[in-house]
Amino acid sequence: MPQPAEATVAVVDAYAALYRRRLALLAAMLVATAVALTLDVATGPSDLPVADALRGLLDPGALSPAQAFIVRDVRLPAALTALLVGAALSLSGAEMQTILNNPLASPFTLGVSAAATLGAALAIALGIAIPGVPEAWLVSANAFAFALASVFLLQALGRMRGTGPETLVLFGIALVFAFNALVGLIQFLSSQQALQQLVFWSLGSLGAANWTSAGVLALVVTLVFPFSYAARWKMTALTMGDERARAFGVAVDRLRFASLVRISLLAAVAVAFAGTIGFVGLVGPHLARLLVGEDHRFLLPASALAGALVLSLASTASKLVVPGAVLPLGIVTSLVGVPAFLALVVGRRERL
Amino acid sequence: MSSGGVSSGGLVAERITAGYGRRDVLSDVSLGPLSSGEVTMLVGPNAAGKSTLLRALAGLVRVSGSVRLDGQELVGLPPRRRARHVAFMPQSLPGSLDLTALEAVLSALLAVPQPPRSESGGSTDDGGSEGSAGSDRSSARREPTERALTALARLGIQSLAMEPLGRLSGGQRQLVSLAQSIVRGPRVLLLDEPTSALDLRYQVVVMRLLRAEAEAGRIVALVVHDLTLAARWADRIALLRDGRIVAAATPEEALTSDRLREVYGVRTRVERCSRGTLQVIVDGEG
Ligand SMILES: Nc1ncnc2c1ncn2[C@@H]1O[C@H](COP(=O)(O)OP(=O)(O)O)[C@@H](O)[C@H]1O
Ligand SMILES: [Mg+2]
Repeated sequence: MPQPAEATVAVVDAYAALYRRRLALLAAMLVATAVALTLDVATGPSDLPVADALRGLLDPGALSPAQAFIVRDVRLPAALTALLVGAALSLSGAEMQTILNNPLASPFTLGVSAAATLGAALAIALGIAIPGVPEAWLVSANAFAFALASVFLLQALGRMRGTGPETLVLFGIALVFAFNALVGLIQFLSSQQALQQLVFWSLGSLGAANWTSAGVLALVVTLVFPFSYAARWKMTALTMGDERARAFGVAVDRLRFASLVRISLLAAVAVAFAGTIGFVGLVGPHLARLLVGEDHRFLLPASALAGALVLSLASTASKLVVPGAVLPLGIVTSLVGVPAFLALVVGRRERL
Repeated sequence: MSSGGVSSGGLVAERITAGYGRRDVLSDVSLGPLSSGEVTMLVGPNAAGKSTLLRALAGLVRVSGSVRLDGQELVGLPPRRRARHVAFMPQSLPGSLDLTALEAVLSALLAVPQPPRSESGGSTDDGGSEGSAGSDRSSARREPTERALTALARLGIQSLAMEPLGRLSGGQRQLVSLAQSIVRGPRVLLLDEPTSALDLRYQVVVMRLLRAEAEAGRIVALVVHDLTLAARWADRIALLRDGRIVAAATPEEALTSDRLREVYGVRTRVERCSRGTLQVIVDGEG
């Protein structure tokens, strides 16, 4: 039933308009994230007026050496770490939701965060760590190694039964319980001081953020994202089901494994530097989906940006809620993210 | 068809065993050759194995034996290379996603980009179909968006291109699903109940389209439940029951009252109507 060429032109125009609108949305998110980052740098517990901090960003010479140090070597790396942790967790959450075909999935669904916590607990409470790692890095390195190892364990288990979403989720849940039990055991055995440190770590914190953590995060995110983006059409196909994607020629098992490796890299490095900030990995992709839909050409970058934005705002808020104190980032993320998320879901208009 | 012998054209399944996990649903089933220009319809009761047979031909279930296309073995071929020759439309429809119909069809085209057909030709060409495959050559170079829109237009749903799948009816999503299957223009079209959710008009649209695809040199096989529809549009009918092919022949030969009672457990009359097509009229059970 061929239709007149006129209709084709109209559809092509409508599609081009949609494409431009989505690009504009990504650009707007980018700007919003930059603004949030600036706010994040401008706020903090130390006695530095906001205006001075902002001036210091543009012209470090305008500040006293101590103030310049606070802006450049404390706040800026911490703010960048927050932003990158948000981007990493949200991007990996988007991938996880797609490969598990489950909107409730997050990077932590399959035990990645539980494994990281176990690694951190071993380092904090028992001093058990990877040999040769400098003292200051013990907790992060351990968390990272355990998170990564958990994905390969999951993959090995999946090999026995095929890597369909149901199998992966079941094995993942089993891993979560196993790791949590081990963490509990360590907590039970550890000293009061170690326990406190462990709890603090698991609430999510940027206390240890510095230029190294920001640099490593930036490196991992910039290395992983191109691979993620290269799989955009395969991932879009996968949202329509395994069988359909396979019929299109997608090697679904391989796609899932590659995606799991990306997820574990992103989640592990984020958890290693900032503890477990679960909510952003769940809500970032949902915000992105509400804004740009399921087409992974837009969903993947939008997820990364949404996560970056949410965590930047949360990091700012964590310094403002109780004057003079910095609340744990994981808690604030949920407190800031939930209302924002609910507002978007409830106020959801005609989507773009 | 009776060509047999030297010519190994078309799609041939030989003694295939297929199933899920450890369970065989089909064992030792042979079918074909299904030739270019032919529309074959698989019919039979629920759970007879129709979907499984199509999946086996498409390489989407565990399968042993031989499935050859123009002499080239498809069993064991990697997904990317198999998808170059074979399109499969699943019975389930694409979900209620926030993905426009156009994007859904684009993903079928771009998930695994295929080289232009002119390069992959060689092994699967049989003289007859080369002319028609040649007309695809220009389309391979066209913008993906245009190709996707053409596929939607051929199914009469270009106006739905910008609609999210979640806002389409079941029948409309079925048409999108069909557009995903034809958009790459592969040599073999395997469609699992492509008309189950369609109204009368679109059943005709789809049947005409499939006839045109066949006439363009493609091999078309599909599952349907409506026997009158099958009799009207099929060149051959394969009747399945309990994982076996009970009959594979022209509609007149395959659809007999006795056989239908045996396979479906339903009393029917098979009558030729004034225009010459068969009509299956149900009289009752038993
Ligand atoms: N994905 C599957 N996993 C396991 N068994 C299946 C699957 N699909 C179909 N089967 C089984 O295979 C048999 C044939 O099913 P199917 O090929 O779908 O029949 P039909 O399409 O003719 O209705 C049924 O007994 C069904 O239970
Ligand atoms: Mg079926």
